[in-house]
Amino acid sequence: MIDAIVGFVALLRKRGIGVGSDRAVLAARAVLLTDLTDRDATRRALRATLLLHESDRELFDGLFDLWFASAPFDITDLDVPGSATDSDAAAAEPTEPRVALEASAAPDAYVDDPSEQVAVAADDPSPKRRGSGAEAAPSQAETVSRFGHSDAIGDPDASTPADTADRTEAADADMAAIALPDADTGLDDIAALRRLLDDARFARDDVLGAPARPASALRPNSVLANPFDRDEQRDLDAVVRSMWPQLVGAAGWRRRPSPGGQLDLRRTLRSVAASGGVPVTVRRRAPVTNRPDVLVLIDTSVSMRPSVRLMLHLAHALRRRPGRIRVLGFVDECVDVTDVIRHGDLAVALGGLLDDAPGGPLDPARPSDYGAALTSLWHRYRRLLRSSTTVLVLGDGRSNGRDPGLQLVTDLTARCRRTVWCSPEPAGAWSFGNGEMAAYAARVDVAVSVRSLADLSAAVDRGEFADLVDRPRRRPA
Amino acid sequence: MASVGYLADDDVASAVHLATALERPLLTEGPPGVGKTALARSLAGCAGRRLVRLQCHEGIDDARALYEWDYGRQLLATQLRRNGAGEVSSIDDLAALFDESFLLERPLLTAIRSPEPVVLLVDEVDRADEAFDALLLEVLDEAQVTIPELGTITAEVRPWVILTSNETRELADALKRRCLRIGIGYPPRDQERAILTAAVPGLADDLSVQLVDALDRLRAATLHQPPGVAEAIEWARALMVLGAAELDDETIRRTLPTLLKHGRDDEAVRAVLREATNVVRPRDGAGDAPSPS
Repeated sequence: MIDAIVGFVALLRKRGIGVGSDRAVLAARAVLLTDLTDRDATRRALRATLLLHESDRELFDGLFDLWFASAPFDITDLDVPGSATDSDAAAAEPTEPRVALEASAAPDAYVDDPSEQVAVAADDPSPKRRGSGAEAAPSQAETVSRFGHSDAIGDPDASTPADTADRTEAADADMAAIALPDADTGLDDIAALRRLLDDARFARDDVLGAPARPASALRPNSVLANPFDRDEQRDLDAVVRSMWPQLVGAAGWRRRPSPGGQLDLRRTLRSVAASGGVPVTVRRRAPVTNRPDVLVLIDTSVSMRPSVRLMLHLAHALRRRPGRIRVLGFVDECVDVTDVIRHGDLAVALGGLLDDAPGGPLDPARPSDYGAALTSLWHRYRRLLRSSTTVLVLGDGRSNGRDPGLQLVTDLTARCRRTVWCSPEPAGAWSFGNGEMAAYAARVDVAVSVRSLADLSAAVDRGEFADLVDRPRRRPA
Repeated sequence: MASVGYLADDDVASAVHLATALERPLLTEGPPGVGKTALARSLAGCAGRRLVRLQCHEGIDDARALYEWDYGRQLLATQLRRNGAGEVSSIDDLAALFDESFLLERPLLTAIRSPEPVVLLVDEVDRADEAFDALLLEVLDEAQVTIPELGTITAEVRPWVILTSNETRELADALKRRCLRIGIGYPPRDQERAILTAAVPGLADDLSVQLVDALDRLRAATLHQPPGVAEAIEWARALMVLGAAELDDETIRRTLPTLLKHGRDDEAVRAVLREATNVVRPRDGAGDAPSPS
């Protein structure tokens, strides 16, 4: 059982769900306290102990089903291209069952000898006989059918034409075969399994309440056709870890709000004058809660298309920092998308949001109107801004001949702690065409050209986002 | 926990069982009104433990959460000594000023020092600043509080700790790591009906079906604040007070304040409920709601 949990934890780590050794120990203790014959109880125990983020839940459940229901497979197979020899070997000579738990979990359906286990599954695939494995099957089949042919997702460098065809067939096959693979489907299993794991990253619609959408409808035209892979995501997280303190400032610099609210001098003096000064009654302003430390504005218009992928991932990564952040998207009107990226997978959440919004405020096919967007920000979201808020604008500053709203940017800079603008265009091109970026740059605290993750990393290393000078507070003009 | 009126599903029951058996804090995350705080209250009720509650807010610090020295009494004590036995001269006299009798306990210290077992509820921990997450670590990890003048105070009886979060911000991973975690969402229809029936005795079956159906629709719609279970119970109670036998336009209009928590949702809620009543009850009128008593 310990092996099963250690293997499962390793699998989680490989799929990007960070689990420390202490959590693994805790999981083992929790499993010991549960009824081992109850598969759902085991799942609940592991979920409570190993799952830190709700957004990883679907991936976690998928991995649980695969690990604790499937016949033995080597975890290393998940990362290497599914070569015929490896898989055939694995299928031909069954190894020690990795999942000791399974044997005790469903004694009627499973026997100790893996080959017999396969035989049981192949002979009688009825849900009753398949026991706990059958519970996993419908959800996996549903996942795959919902997202259609997964060759659109397949890792291009991991697939030869021949095994691409195999994969397509495997994806069409009932995924129950994956939950309980038989001896003939070794290659397809591994290949389909790998794709299923990739697919699970996209299976977040239920969490978002969005309608199920086939992958083909999302991907070809999506601005996020190519979401960050694990390495990129790790690099981005590292950059954002350094970037966050620069954006919000060191803890000691921020004035801590008084628990009872800040002193309201005007009302206090009035009340003192009324009573002649005895007794002194201190009046306080009601504290306003839940204002963000960082407000991110993302331009999703057509001119940002080449770089919106980086910008959305950046916002997503910032959202995972333990601070308050609000994310507004805009083309010509600001829309709060914080909740959308809170739980969901970025690719589905925002990609779908953008793709499904023809004519909407975030329609990525329309040109941006900065004046209108800033006006809507000022009217609808001004209450979010306070003197300790950092505003991070991710946009190219191209207002397409419309009013650029320069005065609003000046007001924004005056009202907030810092205004930081990242433009995907090189600084030399900011004034070309109808670009207003140069004018914006003169009105914000920091303007940086960020075209790639490397640019962002370099800017963070240079401390571009840090407020190194303690400036006097400005007043709105 | 059903004995104290809390109907927990398997996930919640299992997480609570593990948290109490492993003596780990339980972090509950989910939208407002799904019963996170009620879980702690019910746990205290059914286990016969006292509930110690720490309500978090922006700017909360150790003086509000852990302990504070009673400066006023310390000053008075200094004054009394000066009047009585002369000057405060020795270092012992100074140490006596930082005695436990001058310590003002705040909820975390209360829970740690309590001789009888307690349930500690750290409510809406996401409202506090991220620095507060770090403050909680020692309490959650070791069930102890370190006071420089007095040393480390360790709990004799480890409290059961429940943290709740509405996820307005991401909590620090260090904090999450120390807890068991469970996400509580809106309950499925059957469970919600059971909850309503248990919380509002005398609620007719038909009405509860209509309520649950309407709630489903409201949650599926895009609202600023979808109704949680707490609002559902409140709504059902309001309908009972009005003596309504079924949902119709008039009863909905009267009971709207129990559901409508955000001005901008007004139109959307009305539209959804209108649709719901039309589907549930195709015929018009017949709503015989008596005037409120």
